[in-house]
Amino acid sequence: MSVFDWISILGQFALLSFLAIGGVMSVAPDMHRVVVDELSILSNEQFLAAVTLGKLSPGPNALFVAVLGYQIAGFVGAIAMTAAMIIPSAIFAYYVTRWCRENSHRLSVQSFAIGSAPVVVGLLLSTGFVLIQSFSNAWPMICVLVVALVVWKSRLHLTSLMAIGALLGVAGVV
Amino acid sequence: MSSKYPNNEPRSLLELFYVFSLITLQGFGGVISIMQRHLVEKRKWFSQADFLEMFSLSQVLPGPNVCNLALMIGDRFFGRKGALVALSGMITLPMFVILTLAGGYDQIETGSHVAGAIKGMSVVAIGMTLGTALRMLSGMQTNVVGRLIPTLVVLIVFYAVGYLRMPIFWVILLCGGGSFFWAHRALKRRRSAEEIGL
Repeated sequence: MSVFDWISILGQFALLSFLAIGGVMSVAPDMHRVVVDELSILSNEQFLAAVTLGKLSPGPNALFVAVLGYQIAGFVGAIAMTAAMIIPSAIFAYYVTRWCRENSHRLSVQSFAIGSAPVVVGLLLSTGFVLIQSFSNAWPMICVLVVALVVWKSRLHLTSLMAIGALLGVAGVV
Repeated sequence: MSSKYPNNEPRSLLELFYVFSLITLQGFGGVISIMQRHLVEKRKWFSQADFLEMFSLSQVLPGPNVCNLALMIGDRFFGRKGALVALSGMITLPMFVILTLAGGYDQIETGSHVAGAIKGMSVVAIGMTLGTALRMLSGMQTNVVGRLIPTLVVLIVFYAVGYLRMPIFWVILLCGGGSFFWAHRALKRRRSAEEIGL
């Protein structure tokens, strides 16, 4: 990978940082487009593995970005990608928080909260749709839909869901 | 803001770092609930109402929600330094954990039990993302803006980003902008209706 590729990736991730309303998972389709489709530096499977590690490790899910960086360029890559993803939005959040705290009654702040909700839902559905295509046959996809229904309708703890998924995977069911 | 308990707050930046590291390391699949339990119930740094207010703001801002929340909390106690320390607390240790796991991942042979387990967990991870989307969809506020426009926005965003793979920037700008103005118009109308009512 050339320096130019690095600048391009980090720049795009930094831009995505500002767009990640509802969390970093919302912009996963764009990350996928950049590193898998356009630059082909990671495979579908690697991308999915990063997302999975992000979900199953403790801490913010957003750290799957660190795994993407790690897969591309080891430890340095992990730090660089995480910084690109977190620092811009953190600086933004810091100043906006102070402003919003004084203006929470404003129409624009409320409109943003209500208006962004359907966009976030659409983005998360897209993330699921993009990731689901890493599977080559229909069976895992059906399982994904079952899990989605369980998460939606029940209060089952996410850790236990992960454990069940792991067991089914070991048994070769999925 | 005045409902913060004056006697219970972190005494030092080190304590802030320690508490956020503790919270984040327990947060499997969701840090928010752990954070609420620690900061509101156990340590009583905030009242429930105070915490919820910060929580809803953190949801609206771009970036990792829990990181935004940590940043706000740190800022409240120690200003800019506190924000930085709380954010580092959220990220540093989990980063080591996840990179250790990622390092081990390369050594996994395809077809082994571990590979199977990871595939099983991937299925759950994708399902969780979709399930969260569905949960948000059914919890969306429709009393002011109605159902039609938000549903259309969801479908257009999904078609553009998920199916056509369009760059998110333009989709957010156009759909998010449209959705914002729709909400703004509806809220304004309701507000003026309330004023007439009064």
